[in-house]
Amino acid sequence: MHFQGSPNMAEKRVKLISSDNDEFEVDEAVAFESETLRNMIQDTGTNVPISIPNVSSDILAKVLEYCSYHAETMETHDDKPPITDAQIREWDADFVDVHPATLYSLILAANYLNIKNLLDLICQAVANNIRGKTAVEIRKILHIQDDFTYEEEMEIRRETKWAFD
Amino acid sequence: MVGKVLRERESESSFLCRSLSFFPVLARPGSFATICHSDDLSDLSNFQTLSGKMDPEIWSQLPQEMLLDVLARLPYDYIPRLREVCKRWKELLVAKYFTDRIVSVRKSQTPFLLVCVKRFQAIVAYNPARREWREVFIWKKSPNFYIHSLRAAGGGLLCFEGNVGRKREDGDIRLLICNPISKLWRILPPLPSGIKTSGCVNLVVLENEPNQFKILFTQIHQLHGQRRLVGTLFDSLTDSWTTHSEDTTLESIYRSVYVNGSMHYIGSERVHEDGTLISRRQGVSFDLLRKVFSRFEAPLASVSVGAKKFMELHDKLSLVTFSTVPTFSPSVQQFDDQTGTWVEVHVLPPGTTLGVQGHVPLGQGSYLYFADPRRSSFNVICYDLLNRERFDVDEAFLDLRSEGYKLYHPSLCSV
Repeated sequence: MHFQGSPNMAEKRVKLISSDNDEFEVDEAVAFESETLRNMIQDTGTNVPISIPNVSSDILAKVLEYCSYHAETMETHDDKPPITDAQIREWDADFVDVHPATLYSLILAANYLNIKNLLDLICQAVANNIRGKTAVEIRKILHIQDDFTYEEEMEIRRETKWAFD
Repeated sequence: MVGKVLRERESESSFLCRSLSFFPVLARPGSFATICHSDDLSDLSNFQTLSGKMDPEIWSQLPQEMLLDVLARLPYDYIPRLREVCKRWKELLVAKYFTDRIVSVRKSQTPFLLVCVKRFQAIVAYNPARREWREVFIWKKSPNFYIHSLRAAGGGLLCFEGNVGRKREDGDIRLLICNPISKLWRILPPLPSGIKTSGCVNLVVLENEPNQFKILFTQIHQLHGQRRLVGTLFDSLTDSWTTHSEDTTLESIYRSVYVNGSMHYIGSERVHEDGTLISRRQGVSFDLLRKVFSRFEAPLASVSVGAKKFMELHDKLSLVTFSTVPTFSPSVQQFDDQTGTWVEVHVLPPGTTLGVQGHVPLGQGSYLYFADPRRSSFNVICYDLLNRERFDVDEAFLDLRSEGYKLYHPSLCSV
């Protein structure tokens, strides 16, 4: 791959180790999408492999896929037209089109690794999932116990009556 | 039956989405997001088969911080429904940190600009993120109430002055409080006798009481040659008005600014100095918790030229001075609680000129809004002192100048 930026950028590689001891090697620019990794790399350098104890390899692979794509969108190439915002949005929508359990693991990973754009993307996807649902449906989806008494629930209904009738 | 209810809700939410929401839509045919947007119940069962494979407790363990991040991204008008989910959510959704979260997640701290168009008994809002005006439907079923004016906005609530009935009557003036997000409203009990609705009025939601509001009228009453400073306070918790007063030498008060639990006013009084009667400015504040007045030093007019605006900036009472001279750099003085003095601060980078000319009728909050200096168009020039950014509001409503405007941050505070 041809890089327009500093030639050193392409050479610097970072080793990451997932919770189940798989090793990943990525460009420093990709790892830098994560604020947490950026801080770690700036502290310890790129020579030492960085272990990420609470992210499993399948989720880490997904996260790195996101990071590489977004690091790539920041680059300019002479031979290719730049990636448009519409293309990025479509790619992102595809990216979060996953099983809810995967989405859950991704939200935790994005939070731990502090990848702001990914966290934004996933939170929005989960919000879209909740949107339009009734309280009963949300309780089912998120496995939340209904802890209101009948009277309390009627009281809240009365309060929110104007919002929905 | 259920399907019908959902469809009605959907049409309602889509309306407010247009008017208030900042939402980017991720929907794409067949995507996860599309399933979630749909109001069809069959899609819910679809989701349940997916979620059936999940650890049953997994989503309930989502850390609160991330849960708030998710909820803050829902459309404003949908959020009230979430209060019905469980006790924890009911508490979360009215907490100030949730409102703060909404503001930070939606990448704009700039409040909506509300104008009351009396001719149509309607409210229009300018969304600074989208830079567009929309009519806002503040209630589902309009109350039997004729609006005279939008008197105050604060803590996500609006305070209207008007009368009960469908026509204007100037006799029995009442106040109506509404939350345009939850669409809840209530007409407050009549003001204590002898208290008029003129003068400074403010609607406040205190930081440590996020689900209650207070309304404060502050006036100067004159009886048998003695002037009294009268604060008339409505507390939503007790649903009643109380009055708090003390003798004063102030002749008038103006410029109310809320900072940290107290309402601050600048007033003027006449005092004898070296044998001559001079008029001078004096600060007075009302502590909303202790319900007492106290005085503070008014800022000295260090710069003789320029228009001065009192406002809250970075949680401090501030005085911004700017001028009709385009090359004039605005200066900001802030009141230091510790020393009780005004200190010159550099809120703006040195050399910044706002370049505002002509009449400056507006200014409150952490933002300055200026009407078009040439008065040739209805454009409004804004300067955001927090983000140090100038922008123009296009095609401001005709009523903006005649009615004035209020700044509004959405919240779920109860009425």
